[in-house]
Amino acid sequence: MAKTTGQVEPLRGGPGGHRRLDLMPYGLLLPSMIVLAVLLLYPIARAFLTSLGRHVLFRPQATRAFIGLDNYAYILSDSRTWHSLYLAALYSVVVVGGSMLIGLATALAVRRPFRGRAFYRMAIIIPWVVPPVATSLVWSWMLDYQFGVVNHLLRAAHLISAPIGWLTTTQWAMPSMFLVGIWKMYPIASVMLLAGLQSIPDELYEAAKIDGANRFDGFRHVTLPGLKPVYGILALLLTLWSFKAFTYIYIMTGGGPSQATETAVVLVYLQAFKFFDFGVASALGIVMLLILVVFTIVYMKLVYGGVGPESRA
Amino acid sequence: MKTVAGYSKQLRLNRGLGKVALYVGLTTVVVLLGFPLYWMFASAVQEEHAIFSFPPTMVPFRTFTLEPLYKVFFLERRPMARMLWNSLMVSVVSSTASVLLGLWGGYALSRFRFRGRALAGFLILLTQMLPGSLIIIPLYMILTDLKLSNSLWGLTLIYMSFNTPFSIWMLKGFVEGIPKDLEEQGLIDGCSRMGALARITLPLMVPGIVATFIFGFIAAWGEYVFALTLLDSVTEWTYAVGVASLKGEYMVTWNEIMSASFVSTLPVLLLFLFMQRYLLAGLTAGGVKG
Repeated sequence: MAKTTGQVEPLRGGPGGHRRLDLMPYGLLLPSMIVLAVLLLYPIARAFLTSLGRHVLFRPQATRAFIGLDNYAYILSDSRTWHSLYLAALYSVVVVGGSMLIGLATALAVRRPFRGRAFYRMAIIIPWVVPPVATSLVWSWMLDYQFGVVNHLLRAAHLISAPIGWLTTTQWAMPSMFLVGIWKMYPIASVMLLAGLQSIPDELYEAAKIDGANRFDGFRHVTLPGLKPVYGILALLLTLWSFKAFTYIYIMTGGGPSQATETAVVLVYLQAFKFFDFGVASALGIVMLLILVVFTIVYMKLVYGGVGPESRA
Repeated sequence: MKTVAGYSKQLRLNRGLGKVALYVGLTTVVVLLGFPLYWMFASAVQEEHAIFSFPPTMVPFRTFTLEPLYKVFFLERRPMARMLWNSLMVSVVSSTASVLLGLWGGYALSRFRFRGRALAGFLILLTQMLPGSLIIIPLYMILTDLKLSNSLWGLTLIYMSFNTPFSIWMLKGFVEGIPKDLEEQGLIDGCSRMGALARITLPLMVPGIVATFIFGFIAAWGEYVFALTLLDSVTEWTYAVGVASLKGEYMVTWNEIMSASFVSTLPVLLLFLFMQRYLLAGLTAGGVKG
């Protein structure tokens, strides 16, 4: 497009800025939107259709394309469903809360310059790099009942007298999942909160000090409000991710012992690939998706008063 | 009554104590949080009898051996080296593709106001709500239709689509950090819009592109569920699937499992250590501006 008149077309088409429709943003977004539509949205539609029929592998004679909402009626009347949704919610609340707290504490600790800061800042992010499978395996090994180092160290420190079945008792399995979930998730919180902290101008703290504020006041009235754009979106993303956390739980306990760690997404997987009931599995997956969509919309309305990229941050 | 000198001495003492507390506190935290990685390494370089001895060897000086590593790669019936290669290819190709899609999409979302922009933004957020195991079954059917089931290409496509939303989001933040005036200057100098994008914006985006690529790479490298479900033959497995399958045996040889795990951690760990400046910049650009 040659510009011979010397007039520059504004890059950003403001209200009334363009008379004709600018096709460039659509062209740029088209490839990624096609990818998302084909590989993410179309599968949702197909899963929804599956959830309306009876599809059990190895029982092809029972297959029916359409049985209405029977699968939904079945899962909603099954206490196993409600238990799995409760566990997923509990896991999200504990892991997101714990990750945000540790993330904030570590971010605050490395905010100001000091000797060796670069090392510590790097070291606190490392758990994020360890691949999920390796994470699950090393924690399985550390939490092993008989030879695990955790039981050994706790006994050596006289904190416990007998080894604890961290992954094999209903009482401890879920707390162990919380521990691993937080260990893996707090680094993201730490990095993003640190970025938020560094975007708060020092003048605000000085002004607060002149007004007679102590450090706690400064934290409450300068730090927390200044961090709001970060922890607003951070809490949402972490919640979405942890509600669907699968790999750690699946590898470490497989949902057991006796369903103690069977969160919703684990149950979806088991329904599909252990009981091969694709209809029921899809129905539960759709219910999960609906819960997260409603949660996100309500959250966005409450925190930002809208939905979409404009309203973020 | 204290003198001014007394006050400043007290202040210096407090500051010194604060510093000691900071170092002690941070070191404790780092040791606690870093311990699993250390333990993975320590268990990876010991013989089997040392692993199951009591008390466990905290520092494997005398029992150090690379035998478990050798066993995993040469005595296992699974082609672990082949799987490493599979993982590498899938991760590199899928994250390169998603960076490209993310560049276009992120540029569009940050530089233009257009009808449907909010919808695109919500679509991107929606993808973060999808439970993976919900779409495995339909994805498997789609890949079968495309004749891509049980193939690394199919898996590459899926990883690309998973990484694209995050790519768009992160690169959008980076584009916003580059002044629009620079591009307009290029337009005045006679560049086309694409020319201005390629010659002016793109070079400034290199840190963002590197960061986004590494994020995609790490996500694809570690992905487990889809690879587990969509790949049937052992020669097509990714390394993550191979490592996880070591545990399913009748006897759990933890030293071998840990050495295989450590091998899967090492590439991403090195990538992170060398590229961390870019990575942190990446998260912050996307994160703060949202």
